[in-house]
Amino acid sequence: MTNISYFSFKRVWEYFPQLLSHLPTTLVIVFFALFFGFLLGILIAVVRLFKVPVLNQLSVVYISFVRGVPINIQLFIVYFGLPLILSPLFLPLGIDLNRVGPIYFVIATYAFSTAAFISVIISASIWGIDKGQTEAALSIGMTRPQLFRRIIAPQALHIALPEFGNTTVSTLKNTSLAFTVGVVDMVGVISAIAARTKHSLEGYVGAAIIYFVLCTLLERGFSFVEKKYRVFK
Amino acid sequence: MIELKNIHKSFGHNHVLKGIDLSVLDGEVVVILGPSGSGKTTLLRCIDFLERADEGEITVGDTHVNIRHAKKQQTLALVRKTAMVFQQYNLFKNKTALENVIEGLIVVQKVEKQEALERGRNLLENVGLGDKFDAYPSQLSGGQQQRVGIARALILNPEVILFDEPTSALDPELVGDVLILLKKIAHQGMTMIVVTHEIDFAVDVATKVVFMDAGQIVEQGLPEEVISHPKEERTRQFLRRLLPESSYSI
Amino acid sequence: MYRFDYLFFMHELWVGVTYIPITLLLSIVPLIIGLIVGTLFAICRIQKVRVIDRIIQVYVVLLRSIPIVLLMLMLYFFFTYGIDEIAGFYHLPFRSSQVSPITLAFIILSFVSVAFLSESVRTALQSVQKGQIEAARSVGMTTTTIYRRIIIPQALPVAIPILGNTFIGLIQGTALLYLIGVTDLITGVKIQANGNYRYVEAYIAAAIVYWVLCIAVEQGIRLLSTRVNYLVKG
Ligand SMILES: Nc1ncnc2c1ncn2[C@@H]1O[C@H](COP(=O)(O)OP(=O)(O)OP(=O)(O)O)[C@@H](O)[C@H]1O
Ligand SMILES: [Mg+2]
Repeated sequence: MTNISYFSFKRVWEYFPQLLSHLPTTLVIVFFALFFGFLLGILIAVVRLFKVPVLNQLSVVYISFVRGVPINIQLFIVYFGLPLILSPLFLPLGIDLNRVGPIYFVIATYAFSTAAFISVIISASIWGIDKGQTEAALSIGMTRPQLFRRIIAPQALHIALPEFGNTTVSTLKNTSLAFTVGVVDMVGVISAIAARTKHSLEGYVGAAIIYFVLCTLLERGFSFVEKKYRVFK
Repeated sequence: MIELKNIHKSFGHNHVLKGIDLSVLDGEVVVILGPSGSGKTTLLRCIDFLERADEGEITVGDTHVNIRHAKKQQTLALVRKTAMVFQQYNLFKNKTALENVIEGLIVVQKVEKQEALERGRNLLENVGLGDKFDAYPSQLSGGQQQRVGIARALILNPEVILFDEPTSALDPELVGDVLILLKKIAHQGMTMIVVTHEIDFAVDVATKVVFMDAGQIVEQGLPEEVISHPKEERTRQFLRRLLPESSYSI
Repeated sequence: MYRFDYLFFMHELWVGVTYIPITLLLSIVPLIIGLIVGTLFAICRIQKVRVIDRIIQVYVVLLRSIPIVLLMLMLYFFFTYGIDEIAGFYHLPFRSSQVSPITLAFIILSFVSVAFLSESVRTALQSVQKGQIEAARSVGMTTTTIYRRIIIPQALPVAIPILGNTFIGLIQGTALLYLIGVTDLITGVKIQANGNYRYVEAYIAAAIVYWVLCIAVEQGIRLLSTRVNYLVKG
């Protein structure tokens, strides 16, 4: 084939600055989603580890839901549903949830979803440590908190780290769906660019390249930390 | 001195310990024999409160506990006077041999780090692991791991050390080393309760042999009484299976 | 307070259910294609076929670290524009608009599934211990025989749960196909809600259909897993 007109690397190159100028939006979503996701995930893990009645059963249903339902549908439910449920709570504070930007709902959705995965990772890593070490620690007279801090937590963290890495990467990848509820991030801005130039393919290629680089960097970062953080050989 | 009175333990409907009475004097080495499922492990675990017995009384040194009414403080005090050596070693995998040994000193007995290290190194040298201070459990053989496990118990200087089949997970050629170490500890005057199938060890080292079956103590006494001249038919049957040549004598 | 419209919700639930066959079709076809091509890819990588194994590696890494929605949109525009361009250039009498979105969906999801499954299959094949293979070679088996009689039977139990995960991933991926114009479950329930703006009911219904579908697949995989374990281990 001679010159291809529907795709040009030149255009990808030209789009880059515009895409990158929206990168902070993506990073903000990832950061806050992970932050709140970890907090909530730890709480859920505690519920699971201590088998808190009722809450434990709820957490099982919750985790199954998050795993079984496509993330973009979760996003729609939160985006359309949360304002309906929470509006009466927020209106007295002078906040109209229907006018709040979509990015907050995106962060909420990813925080909820990340929390489910984080809680599974945490509880599985703790359950994965053989009970013999617990017994040994108790038999030399350690208290439960000491046992947790000195024996269980370091080993569980070691098991969990690569999984945390995977979750972080998939949260990052999921942010690419934020445009479906109207967030103007890297992906969201492409339709605006395409409206002007009539060429969207290059925009998606550009965004894909940026995501690829970010994912690769994150993976490298995590495997570096993993290697540094070796609690046993 | 250790005194057990009327220890009962059930798992659901399975009545595993049916009133165990046992007293052990300071410096004694008690070997517990018995068929699989007779409750030997459960008894040791009840003494160390890894399993909570349903009723009975336990005295270790000057700590006396009635299990029915035991408060957390009391059981912790009792746990800290006993130490356990496990069949599967159960070393802390995130700690080196030396760190495993001094963990209890530092965390439980609040000994100063320098002193703990010093004592830990000495003890590891004594159990023949002078060159393995910084090895992680995964880098040690079974026999070496078990010697670390023994050192971890020994360093706390407990009133009694409970051994649950300390050699039965080991390759045959590694058993000898561990048994020699056990003998050495016994000669140093440590009070020990040992569950084992090593009859030779019982004969050589035990000051008392206890035969358990179906959650009860069937008979107890000096090794030459229980092993060579058992009074009870159940003991005889058990020993016959353990010692194919029934002409065994000391 | 919002009044949840249960009647409409039930109606949407039923609408969702009617889309289960197409959803399954859209995920099973790429699964099968992915399994076949992915296995070939995996074998190429394990046997270290020169050049090809590098290309496959790059392909897999690229497809795994680019968000699926971007892959979808890129491939979609790439194919549609591409078809038009080629047809225009050679004056061929067809246009991309004649290719149904479903066909494109099959192609696009297959691209993705090949990448994921080649990794899964490789993991499974490599889980078979070296000693097993060496032993088979030492009794004179050929490579094909070794694959057929030693490696595959042992790799299957490892592979099935991973395949199950990919399958569920593909089912969830179908929820994005509305973006390239496929009339899928989401489009179906959304059309109904366009009249009354009851999107919450619509999406919750869609979520529940997907949820139940995934749980069913998970259970099916578990059953299959025990069956295969039983067959292989005897
Ligand atoms: N955690 C538990 N839950 C339920 N039943 C248990 C538990 N631990 C032990 N048992 C039961 O208690 C009985 C005694 O077990 P125990 O391990 O004390 O026997 P043992 O004499 O140590 O046997 P072995 O020589 O095989 O080690 C067995 O019937 C066992 O099934
Ligand atoms: Mg036992």
